Amino acid sequence: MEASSSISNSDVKKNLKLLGLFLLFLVVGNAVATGFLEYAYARTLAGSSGGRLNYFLQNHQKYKAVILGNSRAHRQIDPEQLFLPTYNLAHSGMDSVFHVGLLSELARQNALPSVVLLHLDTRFFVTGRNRKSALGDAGHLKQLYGKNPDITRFIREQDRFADLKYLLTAYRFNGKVLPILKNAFASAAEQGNGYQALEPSPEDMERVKEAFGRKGEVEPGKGLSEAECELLRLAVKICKDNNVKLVCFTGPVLFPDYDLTQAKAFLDKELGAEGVPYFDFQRDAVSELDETMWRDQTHLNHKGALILSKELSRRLQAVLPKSGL
Amino acid sequence: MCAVASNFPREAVWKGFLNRHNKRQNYPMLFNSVTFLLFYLAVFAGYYLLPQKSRWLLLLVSSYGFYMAWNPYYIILILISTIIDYTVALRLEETEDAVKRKRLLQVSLTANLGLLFFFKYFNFFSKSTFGLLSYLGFTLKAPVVDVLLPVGISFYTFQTLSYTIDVYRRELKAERHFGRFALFVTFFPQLVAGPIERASNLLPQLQKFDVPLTYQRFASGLTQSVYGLFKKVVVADNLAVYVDAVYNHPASHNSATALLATYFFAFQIYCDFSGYSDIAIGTAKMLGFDFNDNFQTPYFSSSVTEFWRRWHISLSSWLRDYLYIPLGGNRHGEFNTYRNLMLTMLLGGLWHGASWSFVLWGALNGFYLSMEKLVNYHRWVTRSTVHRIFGAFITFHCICLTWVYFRADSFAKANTVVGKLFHFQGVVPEVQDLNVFLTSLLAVFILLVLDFFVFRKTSFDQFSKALKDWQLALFMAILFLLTVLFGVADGSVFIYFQF
Repeated sequence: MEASSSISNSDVKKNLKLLGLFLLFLVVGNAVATGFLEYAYARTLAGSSGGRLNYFLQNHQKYKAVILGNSRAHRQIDPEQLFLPTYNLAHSGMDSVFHVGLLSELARQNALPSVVLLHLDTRFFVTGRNRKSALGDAGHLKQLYGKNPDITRFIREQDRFADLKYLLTAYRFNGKVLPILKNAFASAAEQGNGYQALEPSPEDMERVKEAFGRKGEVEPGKGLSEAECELLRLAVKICKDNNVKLVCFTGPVLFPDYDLTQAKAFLDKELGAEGVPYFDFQRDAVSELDETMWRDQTHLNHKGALILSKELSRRLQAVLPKSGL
Repeated sequence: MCAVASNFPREAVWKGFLNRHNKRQNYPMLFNSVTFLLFYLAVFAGYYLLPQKSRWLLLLVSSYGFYMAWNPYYIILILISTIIDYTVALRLEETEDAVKRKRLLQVSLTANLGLLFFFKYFNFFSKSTFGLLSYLGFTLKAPVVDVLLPVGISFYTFQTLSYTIDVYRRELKAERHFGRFALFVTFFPQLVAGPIERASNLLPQLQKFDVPLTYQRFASGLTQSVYGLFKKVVVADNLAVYVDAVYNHPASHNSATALLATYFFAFQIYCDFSGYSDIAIGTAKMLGFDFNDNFQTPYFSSSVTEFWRRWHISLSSWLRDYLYIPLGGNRHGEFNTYRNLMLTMLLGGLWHGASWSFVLWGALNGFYLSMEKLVNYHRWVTRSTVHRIFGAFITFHCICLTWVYFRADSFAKANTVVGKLFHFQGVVPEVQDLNVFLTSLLAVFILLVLDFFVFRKTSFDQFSKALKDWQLALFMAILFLLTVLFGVADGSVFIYFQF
């Protein structure tokens, strides 16, 4: 009773009206923003904020294979060098959760080609990152929250308040508004096959030399990442369920900065049991790659990429059936 | 001193803090988190549902919970401070003996400043002293304590100190209700990053808890909170991306990039800190409490003197009342005035962090204030609007120069940035992430428009009074939508938490 003396009825009504109006404008604004951004996003066919994914979804019939992975796939595998029509859908700087999220979305939209080439960054299996950190890049696919069950699950695991936040559906475009607008209205569709070469620069040799200077500083592995293992198993399952041939590979590095023994043993065992071919270019070094073909410790320049792509193609020919692709 | 200083990187203060605290799970009660929103809604509902006589208890328990969500053990420090100041103040009121009163005050000062010194300054002084000894040829290992800096310790220490000093000066009656006094020390909206409330303002408000939640109060508080959230999440956090990239490796960027990063940091720190203050003031207002203003669009100041009347007002007025004036203020001749200004600003710098960079930051500000007094700058700058505009331009750039030392991780990096600023190598700023860069520009533009045309001359109370309810609701909804669309999603701690 005493409490009600603090607020008069008229004030309660006015406060509720203000709050109601605020929420009403918010809901309407959210609906308008979401509708507009959905429209713009659907038109976006270039860029890494969903544009390249959209491009592939619209053009997947043209391709027999798709490449997924981080910069060691995006910048090092030229589909032109492969023997089957391939699109490079790898995204630089992204972790496994992002690539598996893309794979899941391709499956959901029935856009998986016959072959999936998935790059595995073995170091992430043993860097000791916690689960939350390993799943962090799922947030870059937030436009698919509530649409793709795997991505939704990853994001929920990241953020216990995700369902509350995504009540405002415009939040799916958080941080992506300007690139979506730019790519939707100001530029043409994705050109080429998704591959982006790293052109050599005058600083390359310095970087490579510096990397050589650090050679030998190998950190011990910090135990197998449960999240990375789960993500790999999910990728295998998605491909299996969709009758798609999965091929995994790991790009070469000048030398690893972690002891990868445990990761490699896991990959050999897991992928071997599933019958998934795995090309580890760290273990089976490509002999033609000399110092002039490196951009830095973990990336090849376009000359190195050309050689690697050809080598990958050669090995693929050995494991892929000529018919039925 | 420079040799010592350059050997003492500030990573311990800046990076170390951020590394330890940047993960949300370590500090779940950030104002820019859903956890805080739910916490606040629960407190808000409970507060107005409870009878008035029980409300203090709800606020006290909530405030302790709020602090313990960060680190449950450090609540003991606040409890120690609270018990000592509560007891000392009561004794001060009862005692007429001047010597005893002085001793009692000393007890409070020693206890509060002792805790602050141990947790915040011990390592700094230890490393500096032993660094100097090493420079002189005595190689000894500096003793260091491996403790986490209690969040907000500088804020609540200054708040309780002002209370004891006011009671000592007989400007304030001692609070007899322990619970209410404890609430004064820990009241959650301003506990970890201010505003540093004076007991004379806050304690009387903690007596009855009967302020009605009028439309005016609710509207003003909600608007200020939403604007504060926008400033933090959209402006400050987006700017931080560019600033961090440049300030982490200043040597690899050109002059234009260093200049832009410094401008960006000026707005980042303003929005980070004033955004926090806005949310603190707004949320407290909706519970019936009026805090003092902490920022009044400071970058529109036409002199550094004016800037310090409009930037972190609760700290600058604290330093004025409890340091500058007791030191003699401007009463004992020009030399003493300048000395007092310098001392006050040096200690103000040190208050921010245990590092020589902060001391230099304070020294630069003290120098500006002294120079303005010396040349009677105020008279010149108030001659005309053109003078004022020119003064604002000069002031902003003088302040930006001080921010370099505030932000850089070390003296070496700060000097690199300053070197870049004055060497004019490269006139086009480098942009790594065009999306974040354009978002930052858009955010600063919106901020400047709102601050210049609306909040430069209008308080939130006046603003919410001037607008019809639907207009105000629309304004808030637009700000909130901009926050949803352009805000940095994973959030970060507020910069001033480290102080």
